[in-house]
Amino acid sequence: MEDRQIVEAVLKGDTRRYADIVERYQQHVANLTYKLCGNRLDVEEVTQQVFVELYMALPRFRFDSKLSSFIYRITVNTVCKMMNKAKRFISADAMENLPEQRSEDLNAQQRIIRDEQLQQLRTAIGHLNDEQRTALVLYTFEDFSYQQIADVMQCSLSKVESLIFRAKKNLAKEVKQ
Amino acid sequence: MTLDEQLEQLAAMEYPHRVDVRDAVMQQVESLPIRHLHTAAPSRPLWQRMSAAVAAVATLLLGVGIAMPYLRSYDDEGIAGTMAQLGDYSSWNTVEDIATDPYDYFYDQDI
Repeated sequence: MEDRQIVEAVLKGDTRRYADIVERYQQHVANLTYKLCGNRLDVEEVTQQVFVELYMALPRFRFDSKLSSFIYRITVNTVCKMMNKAKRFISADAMENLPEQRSEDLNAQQRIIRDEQLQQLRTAIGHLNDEQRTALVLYTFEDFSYQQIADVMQCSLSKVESLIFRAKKNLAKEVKQ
Repeated sequence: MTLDEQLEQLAAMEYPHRVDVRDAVMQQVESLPIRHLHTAAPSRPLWQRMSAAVAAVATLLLGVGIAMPYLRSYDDEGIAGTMAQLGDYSSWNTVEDIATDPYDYFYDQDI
């Protein structure tokens, strides 16, 4: 069943169909959340919260963009809200949970340095303002084109370019400190 | 590692655990009142609502400020009364009187 059909069914009152949307996107939301916050407990809690917020936001969804774009936007906003609430961006658990991919041929010292750099980067991403963070995450982590990002954020192409440029500039400044 | 390389590394990361929040989500959403699904009014961010409220108050105050002079009553009696307090202005010195000797004029006047 297409996303649109499921959403229409849910809005008409068949709330059980919402489980199909959750099943379809939950791993994707978890991956995106993990890239942003890196902590296992937060990932599952945030993923759940994203789908509750999506459910509440469904009446506002007008199908002028893909449902997946709408979900990504809610994910980024929810992560930021929960991070601000917790006043932390990464916890000590994250070091244990970082995946081993790409590190088989690195020695332990290099891996620690790499992990630290990535932690710093995650923290720096959390310090960006909402617009810059959304644009950067969609561009870098979800491989969205500038046009797709402009559609999701309902702004111009030039604004998207400017947001990504400034986000990277701010990140570079913060990780160098 | 450059910033772009770091971003690429982060982008390549996948959450290493299988997630299944379906039951937990459905338990939460099914307890929500169904009527909210038919609410079409989008909620605006707080800053937008506050800006709208401030703009409304400012417009009201501006409108009252502009309208105030027109709301005061300027009846003839009021104007006449004011002129009476000023005295009989026909006896006021003319410009020529002041011009001949300004110093004497102002020095001699009972002001």
